[in-house]
Amino acid sequence: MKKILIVEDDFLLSMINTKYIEMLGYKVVACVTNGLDAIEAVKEHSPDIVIMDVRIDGGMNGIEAMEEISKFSSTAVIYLTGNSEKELKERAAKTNMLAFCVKPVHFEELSKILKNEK
Amino acid sequence: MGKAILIKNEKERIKFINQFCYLTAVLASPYLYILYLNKLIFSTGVMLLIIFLFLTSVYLNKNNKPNFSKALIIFTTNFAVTYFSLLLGFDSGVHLFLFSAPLITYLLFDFIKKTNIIFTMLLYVLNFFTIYIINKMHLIVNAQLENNTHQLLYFMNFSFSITLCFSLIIYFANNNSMYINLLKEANITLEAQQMQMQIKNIENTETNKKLSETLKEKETLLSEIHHRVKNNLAVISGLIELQNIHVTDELASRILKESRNRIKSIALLHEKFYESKNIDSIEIRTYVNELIHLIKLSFTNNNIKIHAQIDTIELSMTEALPFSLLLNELITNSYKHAFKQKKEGNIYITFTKTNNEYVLNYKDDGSGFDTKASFKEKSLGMNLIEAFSKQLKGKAIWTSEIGKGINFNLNFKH
Repeated sequence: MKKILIVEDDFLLSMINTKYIEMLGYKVVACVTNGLDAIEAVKEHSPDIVIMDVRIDGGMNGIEAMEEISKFSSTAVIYLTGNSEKELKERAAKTNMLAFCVKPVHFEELSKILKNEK
Repeated sequence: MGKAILIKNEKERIKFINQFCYLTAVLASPYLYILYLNKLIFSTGVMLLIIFLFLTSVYLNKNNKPNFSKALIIFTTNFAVTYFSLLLGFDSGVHLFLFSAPLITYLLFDFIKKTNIIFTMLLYVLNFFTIYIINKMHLIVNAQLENNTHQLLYFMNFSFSITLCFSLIIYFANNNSMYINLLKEANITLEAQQMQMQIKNIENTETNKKLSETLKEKETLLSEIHHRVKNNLAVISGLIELQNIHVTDELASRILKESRNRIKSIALLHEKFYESKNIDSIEIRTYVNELIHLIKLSFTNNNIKIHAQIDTIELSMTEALPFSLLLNELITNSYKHAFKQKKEGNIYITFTKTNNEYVLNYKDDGSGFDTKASFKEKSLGMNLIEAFSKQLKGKAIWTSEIGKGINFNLNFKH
């Protein structure tokens, strides 16, 4: 069973995503709200995929957190973001990115991405 | 500032030209007496005329005709020296007055008026040489004056010409110091203005700094609001989707999916407005293409082709929202109803702009419907299409026949 880490600062959204991902048959190893916790969670749980909100609590955004994570882990990432600005996309593409999804993300879309990863 | 100094200086100059004319008139008075005593009646008249001409120059100056005044002074001085040199002889020293010619010229004209100065000086020099040559050629017929009178005249000419020179020199000395004072004053004013400018610049910099800080705050606020709105829409959409997973009824599931799609089209519109350079309008072509992509994703029938031909059109927020939802309903309706009995199908969308209105044309080659019957039993989708058309203040026309697809046309003003 693949392990998923959810990084999302909106509690309700985090819960919804967790429920859906678990329904699809993945294991959500942790839900965190900021970049530093995400780095720690990756170190601790070594997830296969991180579902990362771009705009999160704390000093760093989702892409910056993934840049840090990339230094010690090859875990893949699916970005969820409020806007699809070109600069953000380009920067995100330099990390081990599976997809760059604009909120609200349809579950079918998320499901397809995760299945393709299998 | 320089012009102001020149104007002030010109006023002072005219004032002194007048004083010069009065002084000349006063200095000419003793000559009148001597000429009269020596019974040179015509020359006395000439001297009276000369005095009159100098006073006329003053009159012209006071009537704002300084150029005429200056011309008259040049003529009178030349005429007076020539006439009395020829009358009284070269050795009477009348020509000594010509040595003050450069000073008189500089009194009359500023240095910047070079042509006037050169012309005037040439006149005086020519005059002097004419008198000198006439004298050399012994053409001067001296008036018959006593030796004492002759000596007196020489003394008067010598001392008066020196008096004239000195008074002009004193004027220039005063004038120069006045000029320097004026320049100093101008310099002080300029420095004060420069200081004021610097203060204003500092104020402007501070204002700009405050403005850019406010702008940054607003941008952050806008970004935060956008983030929250998108998250809230994502929560609503997510909750609907979670509920949909547990719904077994096909109709209920479809209704939930449609609701989710409506939320997604609003969220997409929100995103496009946020990304737009102009926050109150969006370029609709990109939006429509992305909307089509999203709707396609939510249906399993992949054999429906959507042909969109959208002009480069900017729509405002009030126009874009009903327009996007209307398009969402039209496409969803086609997917839901038009191609039930067909494996393949086409949807054609054109959106164009004419001089004063937008034209949306939407058609599909699906099963079509009986318009009369459908309008009687309006579905939510049809109701929404009608409501959005009204919101756009547009004129909507449906045409459809069973088996021949539908054609929807909407015209609305800019």
